[in-house]
Amino acid sequence: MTTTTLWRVELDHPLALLEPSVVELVIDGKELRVPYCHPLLQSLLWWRGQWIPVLRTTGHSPTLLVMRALNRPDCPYLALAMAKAPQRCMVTDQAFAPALPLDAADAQSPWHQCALSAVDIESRIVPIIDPALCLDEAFLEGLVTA
Amino acid sequence: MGIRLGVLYLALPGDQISQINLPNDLHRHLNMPYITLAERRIPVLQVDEQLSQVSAADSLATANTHYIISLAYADASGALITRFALQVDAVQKLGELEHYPIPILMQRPNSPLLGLFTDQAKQPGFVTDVQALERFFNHLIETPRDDHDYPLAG
Repeated sequence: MTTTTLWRVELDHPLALLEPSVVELVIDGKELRVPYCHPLLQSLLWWRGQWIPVLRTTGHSPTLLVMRALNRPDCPYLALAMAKAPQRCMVTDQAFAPALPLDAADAQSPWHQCALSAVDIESRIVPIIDPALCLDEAFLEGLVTA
Repeated sequence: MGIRLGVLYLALPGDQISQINLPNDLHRHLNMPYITLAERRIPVLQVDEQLSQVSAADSLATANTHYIISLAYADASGALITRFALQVDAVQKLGELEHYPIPILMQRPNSPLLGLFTDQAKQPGFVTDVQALERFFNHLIETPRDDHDYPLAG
């Protein structure tokens, strides 16, 4: 039995990220608000000599998790804003769920659109998010209207 | 040249500022605020720092404004066209700038922000130009509202 390291993120729904997707946790980073832009991508973070977009889905969210978006050369990094720091956790192969729950209360969550897979964490099926899919226009529109 | 609208810091090509006026150069004809440039009346617009609305300059805002800049660009024939002027809080000459792109997925259509820059003091701002501003203002004006239905000078 092997184990996999994940990062658990609490937004309006619990999410998980694979370790290769997580680059750095930034607290009190230098943010620049960009007027007249997408309602969920309203600022940029100055990070390692470049400006990267900040995806902010909740109000007070000073903690920024820089994620790597593989196969997105136009936007290789994205910062996810959250109220509290993510938690590292280890899961076994058996914890990976074959599918996201269709009958759960959060089955309609737009986050399911950018799920690579799902995992059982503390008896809750949590989507494992691909950061590159978070940059998809339809997903972002789904978040706005959710 | 750098201009400031509240906290909004913009850079635009220096040759696109055809004239800088002070608030007491502002005149009004009926409800139209204007400044004079080469014997033409150039309407004066104001825009908020969130780029959420554009309107004809009002007296209260003008009283708190430091400068009115006339914005010009060359048309296809090379003739210089000034169609509007803008109230701003500050105008400054900029030195060497470092440029960065704004990720396309963040941008809304008709955004006047063409890119990012940092100036020599490492202050970040946004690159724009007159055509982008005019396109943006036209877009906002065409959005039905009562308070910014305002023609640009032809």
